[in-house]
Amino acid sequence: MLSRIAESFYWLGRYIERAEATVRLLAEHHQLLVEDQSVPHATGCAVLLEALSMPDTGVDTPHELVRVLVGSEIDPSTIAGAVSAARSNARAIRESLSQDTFEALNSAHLALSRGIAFAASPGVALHNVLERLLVVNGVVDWTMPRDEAYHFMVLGRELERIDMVGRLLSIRHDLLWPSSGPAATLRAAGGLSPFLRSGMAITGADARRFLVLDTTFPRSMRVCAADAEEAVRGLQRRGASDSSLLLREVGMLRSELEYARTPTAREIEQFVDEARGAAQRAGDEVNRAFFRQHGTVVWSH
Amino acid sequence: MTTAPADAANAPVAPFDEMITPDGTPRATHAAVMDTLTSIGASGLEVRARQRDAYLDRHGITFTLGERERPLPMDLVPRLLMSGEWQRIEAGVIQRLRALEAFLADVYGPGRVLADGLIPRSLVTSSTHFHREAWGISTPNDVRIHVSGIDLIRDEAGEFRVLEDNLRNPSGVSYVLENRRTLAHVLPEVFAAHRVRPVNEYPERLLDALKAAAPPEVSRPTVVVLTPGVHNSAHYEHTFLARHMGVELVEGRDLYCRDNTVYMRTTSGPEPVHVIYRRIDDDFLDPVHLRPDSVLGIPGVINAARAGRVTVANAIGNGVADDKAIYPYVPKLIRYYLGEEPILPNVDTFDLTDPDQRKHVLAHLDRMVVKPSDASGGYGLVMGPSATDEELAQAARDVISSPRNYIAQPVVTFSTCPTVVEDGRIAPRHVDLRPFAVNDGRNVYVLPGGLSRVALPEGSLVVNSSQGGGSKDTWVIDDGVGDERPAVEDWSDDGATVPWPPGYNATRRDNSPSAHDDRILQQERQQQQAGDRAAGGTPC
Amino acid sequence: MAGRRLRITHRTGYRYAEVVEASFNEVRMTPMSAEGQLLLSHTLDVLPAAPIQSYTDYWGAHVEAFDVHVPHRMLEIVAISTVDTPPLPPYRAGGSWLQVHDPVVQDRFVELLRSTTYVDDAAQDPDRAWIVERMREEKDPESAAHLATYEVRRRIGYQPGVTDVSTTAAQAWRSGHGVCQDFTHATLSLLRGAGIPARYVSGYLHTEEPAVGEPVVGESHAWVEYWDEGWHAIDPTNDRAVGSAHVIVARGRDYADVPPLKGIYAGGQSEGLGVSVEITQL
Repeated sequence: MLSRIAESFYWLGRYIERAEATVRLLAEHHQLLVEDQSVPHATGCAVLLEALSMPDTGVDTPHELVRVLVGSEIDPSTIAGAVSAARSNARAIRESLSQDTFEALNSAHLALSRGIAFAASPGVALHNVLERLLVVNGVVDWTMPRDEAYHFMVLGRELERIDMVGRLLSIRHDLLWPSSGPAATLRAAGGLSPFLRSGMAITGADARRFLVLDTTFPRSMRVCAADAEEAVRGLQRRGASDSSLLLREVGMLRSELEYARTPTAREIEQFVDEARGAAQRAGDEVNRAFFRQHGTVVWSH
Repeated sequence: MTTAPADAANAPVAPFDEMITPDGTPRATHAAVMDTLTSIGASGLEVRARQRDAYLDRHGITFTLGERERPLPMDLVPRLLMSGEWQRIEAGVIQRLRALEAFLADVYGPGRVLADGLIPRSLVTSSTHFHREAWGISTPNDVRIHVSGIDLIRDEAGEFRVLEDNLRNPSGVSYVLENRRTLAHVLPEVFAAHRVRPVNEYPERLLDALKAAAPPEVSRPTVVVLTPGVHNSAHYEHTFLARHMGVELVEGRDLYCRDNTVYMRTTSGPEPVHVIYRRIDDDFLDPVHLRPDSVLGIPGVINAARAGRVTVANAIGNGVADDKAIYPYVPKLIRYYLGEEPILPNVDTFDLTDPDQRKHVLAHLDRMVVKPSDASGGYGLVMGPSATDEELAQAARDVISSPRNYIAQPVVTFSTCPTVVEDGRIAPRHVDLRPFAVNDGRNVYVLPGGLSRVALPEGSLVVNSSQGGGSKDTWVIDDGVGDERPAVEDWSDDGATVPWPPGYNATRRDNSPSAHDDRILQQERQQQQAGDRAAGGTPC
Repeated sequence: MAGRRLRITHRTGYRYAEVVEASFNEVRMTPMSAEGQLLLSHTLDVLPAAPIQSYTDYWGAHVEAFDVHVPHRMLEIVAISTVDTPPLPPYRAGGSWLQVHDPVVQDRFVELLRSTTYVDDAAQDPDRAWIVERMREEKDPESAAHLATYEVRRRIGYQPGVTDVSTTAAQAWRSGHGVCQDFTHATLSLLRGAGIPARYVSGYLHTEEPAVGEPVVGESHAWVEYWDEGWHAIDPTNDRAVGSAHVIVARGRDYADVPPLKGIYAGGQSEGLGVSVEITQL
């Protein structure tokens, strides 16, 4: 398939995931700030902005934090920006997407660009956005053929997921809010119920171990790495060339996480850093192997 | 090349109506369709119109205007062309194309026609679309005009005339196919009484022609459609054609040229491309030779074409042959290259570089249409009868200062066709016709029918699709007979003298001929204009 | 003046501020075989190495095109040609004004009469219109051409470094300084202003009194050919006869039709490597 089209699918996967993960994280974090004022708002806001690589512009209220992170179409680190970027990618490949997928995404985009009533009840508003993004994911999941395009999209989603779980874990909810923090971390990844079902008691260390190494939860870094590897193998089967370095990157990450002995809390933090690093290298490799040089070249005389 | 207009030009002449003869009797050809429509009734047609809109919307059949995509309004009444009429159009289009192909091969090669003095060299070399960079490039199967859209109008006497040639990126063919599907979907009854020639083989014919144009040593050529991108107004058509031909729709950045081979960047690595059906303008095609700031094209593609490694369709530089200053010479070119008399006449046109003709035009400017010769899209067009004194004075100054840049034509009144207007009524509206032709080097396939564009609003002065213009499904009917038959006696109880449907004639006098002309001309010109100049594309 | 056999070595190229991933280039450095001039051999070497495709352009020049796809910071080009130049042709009387101004002639050479980016219509410029007027009063186009050369040389002093390849005839006229390209454009503007078809010739110039076998520094050169019932060459820069020391490479309306090297590349700034031309009489 055309590299440009593949790239749009890849980034569509990434941006949808980024938007969803950011919404979940913001919703939980906002809840903590409001409920438990033991952490100064300025500090609480700053850690989230830092985790998302956003500039700290002196945000010091939960309300302001929501406003900044819902953000605008021009910054793809924000929710509105990620959804808008997802939509532009979808527009470029509209012919290859199901009509439902485009419409679902478009409605999420329109809702955000019209400005949902965040001021009144940010939690409800964020939940509405989340619902729309869930619809997008659902439609994609049951309308897209499992072809090369799909594998590119999944690869993008999984690499973004590893990165976003890494960002989530870079915020020490468990240290800032010792009582409610660990559950919030799990909830921000949609992982509280699965964690509880596994029969463990919620501690900061176990929650973090769960999001890195669990064998079944789809947002654990280990499962993400396995899914990314599977996507790359799917691409190879369909003739995508030059993917051996990429396979090595995601495969090594997967095996490292898969064959890890029960690690210490410190080793967990190392895994997090390594996984984010590997995801970043894999992203670079995707660019190099499949998309490189198709960007607009400006010619000089 | 031209004749002075008769003094009759002073008086508005009634347009030729394709359904009703000048003495008020309906033409038999329309009987079956009109009976069906009459039985559906005005309110029924309104229901069908809503179904049509829903259908177009659901299928995303749109053109892009500004940032928005809109459906192209399709009228519910088909336009009917009898097989005899069509034969003449088809033969005329093919003849004209053969002559224009010969002309292009000549001016980008030996230049015989110039040496013989048939056409002033100054006209050819001063055309903004004459690309010296394309000189000496031969095409594998001697085809330069792979796809053409020669615009026709029907004059007051009912004769089809060529209004302008579109040999670069004529668009609109997707609407021809979509119109047929749409009409069959929402108004199947009207098809019952006629054998209508199908249009759906167009994509296959186009693909065959593009493959036939591939470099001869390639046994399984890769064909792509090159689009300026999603913001181009004709993007829908680009995706339509790529999808129906089963080929990749690419942008310039998907392709690159290396050692005279063009490659497409795919996830499996570079893949050679042999035929580029490009829907971007010449100027943007290759920054090495043409616009250096173009980011839509492929550096090196002109030399790759010259080396015979890739075929660019339509060929580079075709615009010299559809330049309006060349247009008056096309009948001469037909005689020169083919030794035949033109089947389809031109609209009378004055060459303003000729002092006598210029003088005549300046003296009768209020009865003329003055058009810039290389631009299209209606820019700078001045309709004499409806222009203000100031506009006429400006036009006169323009013509005097740069006669090469303008042509003038006496006002021609386009024919009218029955059309559904507000409240589901049927009334005459002005139409033109763009038959699409595909040349595969051995045969020219003329898509039966083509795109009829119709001025929908009554009394409005603008018909282009951005401002209320629409299109009509255009039928070529296999009746096994020649031109229009006389009205038959028994199709209606009321006899053949009653205007029909009721009230059809009532609205037909409201528009001055010049007004209609203005609208349709504006729409015409829009077609081959790079409407989105900044993006280098060619819109519908 | 007898004909000469000359070997010409023309070196040029670009240096780039950043690594360039790709470039597309065209070279016009091949002497023509025409009107008594005969090309015996020609080679073009480019570094980084690239396959070369050649073709004849609209104006009859031999063009060599190549693209480079390896990362490079420098592009070097060496063209070596061997050519026989004809002796100075015998004097031939030119045609009349009537012949030159014949509408058929005017249409035949219309491209060499119209103004271009570089060559404006001198008759429209108050500074030069009077010269065009006086040229038209001369007894024939030949005398008018000599007057044009005389006025150009009177107005423009030869001085390298003041103008560049983008300087137009009007700019050169105003500045009063220039090189062969400017002399040529200025002369063309006067000739065309007077309705005399005239074209830009690009090529090389050998020295006046050559020693056989000894390489001398030559130069890329430009001069004028005008039509009066046949082509006549004049060299407004040197005011000397165009003969066996002149080697014709390309002709066109102005410099834009005949640049020895042009191209596009992706990335950064570039600077020319300068041009060196070495000519040896064999």
